[in-house]
Amino acid sequence: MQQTVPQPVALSPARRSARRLRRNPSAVWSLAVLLLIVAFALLGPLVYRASPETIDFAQQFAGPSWGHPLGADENGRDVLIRLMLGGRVSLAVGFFAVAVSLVFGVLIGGLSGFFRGWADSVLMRFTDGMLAIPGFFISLLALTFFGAGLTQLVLVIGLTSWMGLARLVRGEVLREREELSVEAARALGASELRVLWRHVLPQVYPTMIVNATIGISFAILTESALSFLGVGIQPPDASWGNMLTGAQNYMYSSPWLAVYPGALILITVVAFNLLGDGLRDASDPQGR
Amino acid sequence: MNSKSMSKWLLAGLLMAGGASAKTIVFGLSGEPISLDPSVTADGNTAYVTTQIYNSLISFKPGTVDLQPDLALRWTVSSDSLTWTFYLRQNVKFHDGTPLNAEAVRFNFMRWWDPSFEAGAKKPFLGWKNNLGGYKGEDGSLVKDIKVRNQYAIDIILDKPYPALGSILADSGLFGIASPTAIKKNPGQYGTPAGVAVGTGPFMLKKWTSGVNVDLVRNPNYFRAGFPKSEALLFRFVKDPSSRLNELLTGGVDIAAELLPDQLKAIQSNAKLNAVLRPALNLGYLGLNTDYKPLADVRVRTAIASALNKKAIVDTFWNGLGITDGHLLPPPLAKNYAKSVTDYKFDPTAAKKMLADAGYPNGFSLDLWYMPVSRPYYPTPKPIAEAMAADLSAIGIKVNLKTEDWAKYLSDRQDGKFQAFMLGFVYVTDPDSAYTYLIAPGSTTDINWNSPEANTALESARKLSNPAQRLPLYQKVDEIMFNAAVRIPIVHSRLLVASGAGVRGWVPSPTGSEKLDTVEK
Repeated sequence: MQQTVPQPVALSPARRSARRLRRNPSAVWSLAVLLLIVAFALLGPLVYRASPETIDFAQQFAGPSWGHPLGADENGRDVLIRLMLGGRVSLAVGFFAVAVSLVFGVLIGGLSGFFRGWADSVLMRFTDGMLAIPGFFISLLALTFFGAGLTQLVLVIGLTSWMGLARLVRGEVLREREELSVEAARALGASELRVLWRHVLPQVYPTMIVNATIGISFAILTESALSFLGVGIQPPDASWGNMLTGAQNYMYSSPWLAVYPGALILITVVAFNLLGDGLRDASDPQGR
Repeated sequence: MNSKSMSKWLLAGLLMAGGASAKTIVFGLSGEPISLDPSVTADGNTAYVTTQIYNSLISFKPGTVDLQPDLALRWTVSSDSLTWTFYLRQNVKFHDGTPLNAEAVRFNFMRWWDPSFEAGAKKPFLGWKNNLGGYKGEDGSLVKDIKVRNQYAIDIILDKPYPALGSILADSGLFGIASPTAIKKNPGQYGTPAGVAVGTGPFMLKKWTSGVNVDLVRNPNYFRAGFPKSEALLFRFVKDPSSRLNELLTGGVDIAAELLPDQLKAIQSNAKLNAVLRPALNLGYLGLNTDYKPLADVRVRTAIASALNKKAIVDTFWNGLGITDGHLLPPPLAKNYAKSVTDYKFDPTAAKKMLADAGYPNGFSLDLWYMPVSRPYYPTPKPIAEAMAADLSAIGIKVNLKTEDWAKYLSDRQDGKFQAFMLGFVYVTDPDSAYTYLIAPGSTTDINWNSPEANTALESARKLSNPAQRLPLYQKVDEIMFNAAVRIPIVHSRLLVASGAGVRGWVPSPTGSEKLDTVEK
């Protein structure tokens, strides 16, 4: 009698990771929360059409009402629409700053690990040098010097946060370039750059994705801190950070003005961190 | 003993029992004095305590910045405005029993002015340099000599006329006269918690417990008969404004200094508490730099002044503590106001027309710098700047709001790097010092503007020894400044203080500290 034994299905690493991620409740919830926040920021203003800059002193510190569902701020402006538009700014800074830091981190780490030798020495000493300088103060200095604004924020945060990634990528590349598959590709006559691009880098994707996810939360926090200190997004434009700055004078009389942006920053940052953790666990080859 | 005398005794007993606890006034300060030595630069908390221990030559009438005699019964200024003679009150004794005379006054002045004087100040006294140009031997020193004329008269001889000298000396937080004997005994310890502080004032230092309080007792020999009203005065250090208000509610302090504007409602809603507004001796203004082409035209500047809804802004952000008018000088100096000047009329339509007449029918772009810190004259600079920006955008001026680190802000402002900026000043007790700061040659690099007419008026006023003769000149300057609209007055901000149940006789001074000899409860 022949028994049908269920064959273990051989899954690709990516699908295996996706399955592991689905089984991680905190990661799934984080992803859901993040989608909600992105929808709030991107789609919210399309539905809820209030003016973020109309000043109405009669409404100063007004509580929730039909006209202002979350109340009004110190200038009598609608808080809800400012949270939505502020969210766009904060998320944009998060994504683009990470994009900048990914480009630099992967480029410098990849080249350094792949070519080794003097290129490695030069690039890694440069990375060490950058790491030795406290990034936040460099950001403060740079923004004071070049002026505040969205583009400057993205560049400054991106350019001061690629070093960790560069080191990780270099380590991975150093390991991967000795793999059999890479040797085989070389033997088949692939050029060095093609080997790096097609055979080595794809192995580094999980590291990049995990790092980027956690990097977004770092970038959002940095944006908040810089805007809080007055060198980030300039009024009357809203960002969660500068809404928090504005609210600190009214902590006793109107605490909710600080609670809304503070809670959004907190939730977004925690969610990105949990998602990042989940992704790391999921992409761990030793993981089950 | 009949019943009538019995009740009399009972009444007396009750009064005594009631009076014993009520004889100490407890004052909630925001922090500890730096030193009780009047040759150490004073901050607000220091000034409060030293004002009780020391007298100055001249003082301010309660609640005003008008001069009145203190240790000097009268003073005269020579016809060339260079020699000020102070005639001292006689039979005044320091707390240690030594007499106050011209030698003692000279000793104090030499300590401040001459860094090499015996028992000299531990460090150069900045309060002197800031107000009187420099120390002995320095080029900027306004004082040329200090001479004892006789036992009760002293001359201060100036290098050039300086009409504000009286107001400067009246700030007793700065120029209190201390006992030379007490200082010479132990100069190093004088005025510290371990040492003594000996003046002629209504209260004497009993004990300074570092970090906790300063305990003062009544001076029984105070020259003002019948004062002080209370037996003792205790300064407690309560750092946090909300704690000071709580202590006031629970009776832990009788008077609370330096409260926040948004605490006004809480105080007013409590029948036991008495909110007191310290007269506004400050100015918050909007500076316009004529270096920026559109702002070189007075019509544009006036348009900006007329486009700002100053009243709405001040009502909204000062919680009823702010006063808005068209004068740079604060209300306690109202004698120097021109009768023709009230305020810019809020009229966006007219403002838009003025812009068009000046050649900017579509407006222009303007960088407006707001302060990164809170000051009494601008408690919340950012939302105030946003409100101004909204008002200006209504007449077509596109405002970019900017700020930077405070130290850099101040130096960039001075270097004329800002197109428009928010700033102000505090505690200027004389029109001469105020206008010196605002428009004297050399102090207008921030607005790149100069009025020979105004400066001639100021120069002439400086040479007049009679204060009444100076008034028309200052009134003229008031008018010139209003019409020029280079520094647009936004607000004079009163500061909130409060007293608790049963406290009487307290008259807060515009200068930030006052003698408490009249206070009782």
